[in-house]
Amino acid sequence: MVERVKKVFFNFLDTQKIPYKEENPEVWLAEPPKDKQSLLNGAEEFRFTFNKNIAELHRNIEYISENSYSFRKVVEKISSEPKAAKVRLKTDGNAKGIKWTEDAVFNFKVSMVGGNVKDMLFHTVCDLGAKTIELNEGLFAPEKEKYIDCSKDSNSKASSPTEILRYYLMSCNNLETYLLNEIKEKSKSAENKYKEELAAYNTYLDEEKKELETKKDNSGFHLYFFQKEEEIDKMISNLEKDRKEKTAELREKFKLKTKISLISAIIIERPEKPANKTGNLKLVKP
Amino acid sequence: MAQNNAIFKKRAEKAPLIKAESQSSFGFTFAIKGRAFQQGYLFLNNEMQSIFPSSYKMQTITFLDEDNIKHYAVYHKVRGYMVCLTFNEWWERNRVKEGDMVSIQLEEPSTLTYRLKLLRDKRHLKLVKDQAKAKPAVAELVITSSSHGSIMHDNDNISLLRKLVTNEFSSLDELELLKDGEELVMKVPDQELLSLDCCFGITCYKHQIDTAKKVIFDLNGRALLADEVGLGKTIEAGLILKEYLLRGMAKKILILTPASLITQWQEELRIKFDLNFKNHTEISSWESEDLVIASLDTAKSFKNSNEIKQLNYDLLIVDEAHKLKNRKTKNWKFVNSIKSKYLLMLTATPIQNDMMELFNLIGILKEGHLSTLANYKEEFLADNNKRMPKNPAKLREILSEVMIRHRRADTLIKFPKRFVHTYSVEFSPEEKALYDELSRFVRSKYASLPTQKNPRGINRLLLVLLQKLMGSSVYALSKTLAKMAASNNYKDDFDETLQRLLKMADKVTASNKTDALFEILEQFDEKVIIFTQFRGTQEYLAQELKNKGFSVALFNGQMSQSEKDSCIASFKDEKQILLTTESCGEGRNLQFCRVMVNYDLPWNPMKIEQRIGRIHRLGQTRDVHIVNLSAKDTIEGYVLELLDKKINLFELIIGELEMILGNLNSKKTLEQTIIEIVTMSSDNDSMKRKFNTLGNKLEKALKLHNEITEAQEDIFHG
Repeated sequence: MVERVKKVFFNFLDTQKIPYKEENPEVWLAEPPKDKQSLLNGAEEFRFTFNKNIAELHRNIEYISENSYSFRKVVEKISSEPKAAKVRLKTDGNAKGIKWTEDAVFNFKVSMVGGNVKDMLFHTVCDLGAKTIELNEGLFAPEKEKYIDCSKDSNSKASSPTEILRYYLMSCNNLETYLLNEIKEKSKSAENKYKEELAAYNTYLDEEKKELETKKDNSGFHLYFFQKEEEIDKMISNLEKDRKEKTAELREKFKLKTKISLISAIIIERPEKPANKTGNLKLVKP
Repeated sequence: MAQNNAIFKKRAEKAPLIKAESQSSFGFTFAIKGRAFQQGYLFLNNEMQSIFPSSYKMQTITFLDEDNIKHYAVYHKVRGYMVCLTFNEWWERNRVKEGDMVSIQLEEPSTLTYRLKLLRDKRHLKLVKDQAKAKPAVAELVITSSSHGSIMHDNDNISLLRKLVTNEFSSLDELELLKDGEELVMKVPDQELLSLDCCFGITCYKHQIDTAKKVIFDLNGRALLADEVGLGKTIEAGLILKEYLLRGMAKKILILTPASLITQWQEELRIKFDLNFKNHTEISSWESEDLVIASLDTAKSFKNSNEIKQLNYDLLIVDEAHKLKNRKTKNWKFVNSIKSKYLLMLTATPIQNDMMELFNLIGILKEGHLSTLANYKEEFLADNNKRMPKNPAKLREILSEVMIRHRRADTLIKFPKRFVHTYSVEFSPEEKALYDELSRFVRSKYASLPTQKNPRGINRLLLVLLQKLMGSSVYALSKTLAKMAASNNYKDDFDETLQRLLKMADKVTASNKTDALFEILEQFDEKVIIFTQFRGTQEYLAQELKNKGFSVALFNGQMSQSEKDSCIASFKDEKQILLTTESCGEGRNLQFCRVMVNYDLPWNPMKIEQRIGRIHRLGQTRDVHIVNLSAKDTIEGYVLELLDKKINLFELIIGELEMILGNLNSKKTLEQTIIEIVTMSSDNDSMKRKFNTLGNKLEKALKLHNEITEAQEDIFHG
């Protein structure tokens, strides 16, 4: 795990062109230029380690782990710039005579927000030739050992925008269908919490209102009863205003929101397989 | 969460809300609103959909624009919208603006080709407006999924697809980086805390972990944390806030504390939780900073309160929440008006004087939870005792949904005992003469100096410093006076008296306090931390101790980080004594030592509490010895008596002092009051009388504190 965290963090520094060096054993110093300082806590000199014992001993050194706040900020930054790529599957020996086809892979991040946050990763593999879609858990990234980056290859054939759009929309559809049960379940639970809190609040407001109305009925005994009545009316109207605001506030707090983000998309050129696919949608449940 | 909200809000802002301004069987016109069309979306109401007959779930539609350029869109029939990756090019080329009219007319039914036209003719616009007036009821559409209302698709999704078809590619390394990063942060356990992996220098106790879990998973993030003092409410709040940050449930956080605790909170969050909170002096606006800590007084000031009230916080933490006990106060009204999804209120004493305070506190947290005021009074307020509820069991049950309270007895944590040893030594005749002369000088000079800090020459701060130096060591005083004599800054002020004081100081060669220290060190044949406030005294003691053959490690704020580290390491491994100034490592683990000596005494008792906290803290397993040194009939002697005899400072649990001092109800800190007594008294007798009066006030404050503590026990534990 530490090695993966290291790899991501160092790669991030490299892609952002932030210089760093190992200052002491297992302690690194990154010196971001001014415009990149906000990426590392706004620091001119950012010392970090992946070793918790060192961080424990030197509290001026930031601990980087999969659960550290700084690391999560870095990943957030990486994901805020979605990526597209085009690759070709490496073939053994002579590529002459091979019939090529395309796959479109869409990597999705799903965030369910409501009371708690749940993030999930999925990818769909759309075989544009056989017209099939596979939905899988996790993300897909082409390995360099198996694929050639052909993003700059002018011979590479241009993909059809409408086909890509169509498969993207179908992928979304499949993903939504897959998520639907969980969404319904979570929505229901969030809705119940909302109703419960709202009911308690409404009971309280109704009681308050009743008390004020009783006061108003008794205000005839007051010397300036008309003023008193006006005051109480205003208080009752404020209560109704509060009710409206609170209802909206609770609605917002407990409303389930599911956000589907396409975080990367890849076109894969590969040799056509023998026609063994049915052409029907194949949904592989993760 | 604020970020997530922002995403949703962004989406809502960009939502198209298309109005079909005119419609026929072959086409329609609509006004551009928002950025959806530019983004590539065209949302259709039922009437519009009839223009696009399709027997498929998804259908390719071709648009021909004014320049006969083709735009291919995919029409999602079930959801009633279409997506086109090149609408934005048309938008840019025609410089389309908000409010422009667009016409879509069927051109070739067999190939489902439509003419896309931008209408800018004013006559037409007027006509359209007139039509719109005549037909106000038009459908409004927002971007949602038809499968479930909660699903939203990120706006950037289409931008990424556009990149894909316009060959704006990234490298495979970047793709792998994104995959690895996302997969690493994805593992968020349902009922476990992520924050435990990322806190430092602390042992998280079961009651603290339970509290954090209960607040997050059961209480929806709104709770009164009311543990008894000394059980680490700050740690609990830190765990909760870090958890919310790591889970992406909170982004914008505000912490409100008394001014005296701001630095302590900042340090604790930085050292123990790796979180950099900024205080109000370090921010340019409340809106631009996400992690802010401020005093309640600063935040509620006219200058700041309006801005704060406009913002939506994800988490608000209010420390010393008993300051919100009265709903008629500005404090209560201000905190109640801050918009925050989650709210933590921290106090060990939710009820100080009467049961109404509890009602007011819970009112901020969850209005109506204790029912209406009349019901609450009827149900829980006893006629004869304002502090005791009528129906405590029922009250406790209701409170368990919003309040968490642990007692030290419940936690089974063993708190080591503290033994306090106070040595009051006599000044030598030379020291006594110097002390008297200096005190007279300080008193006479103090009143005549301007209150504002004087950058050149002698000023009030310097006078107080000289008095404090005298209480620490003659060596430190002499060194400062010599520096003043040599400096051009004090040329005009360095009069005969100061010359005389310098000479008197130079004549003092022996110190009874230092001799007492040697005796103490002989008694404790183990590791000892000696605290002093001044570098001069540190220098002097280091030499004296080395002369006597003690091994000494020196620690002060001027050392580099690595020097500090090796100093603590050498103290742990080889040296017997750590001689340190105030800056001795907050958060550093010094529990291997259990004896501390206060060679001098800060007038600010909070600093003394911090010194004690270095060795007497959760995690210390042995009994602790605190040794105080002071000279008889001196300010330090009086201060020591106040703190030791009147409020038992050296035996208080960490955190209790702040509560007792809070009961003084004074706007001045105790140190400010002591400075006033020292400098404003005409003579020693007058000073003694004033110290006595202050002592009585402190006694009352302690008595009140004890009563309040007992009341909490009765109310919350029965």
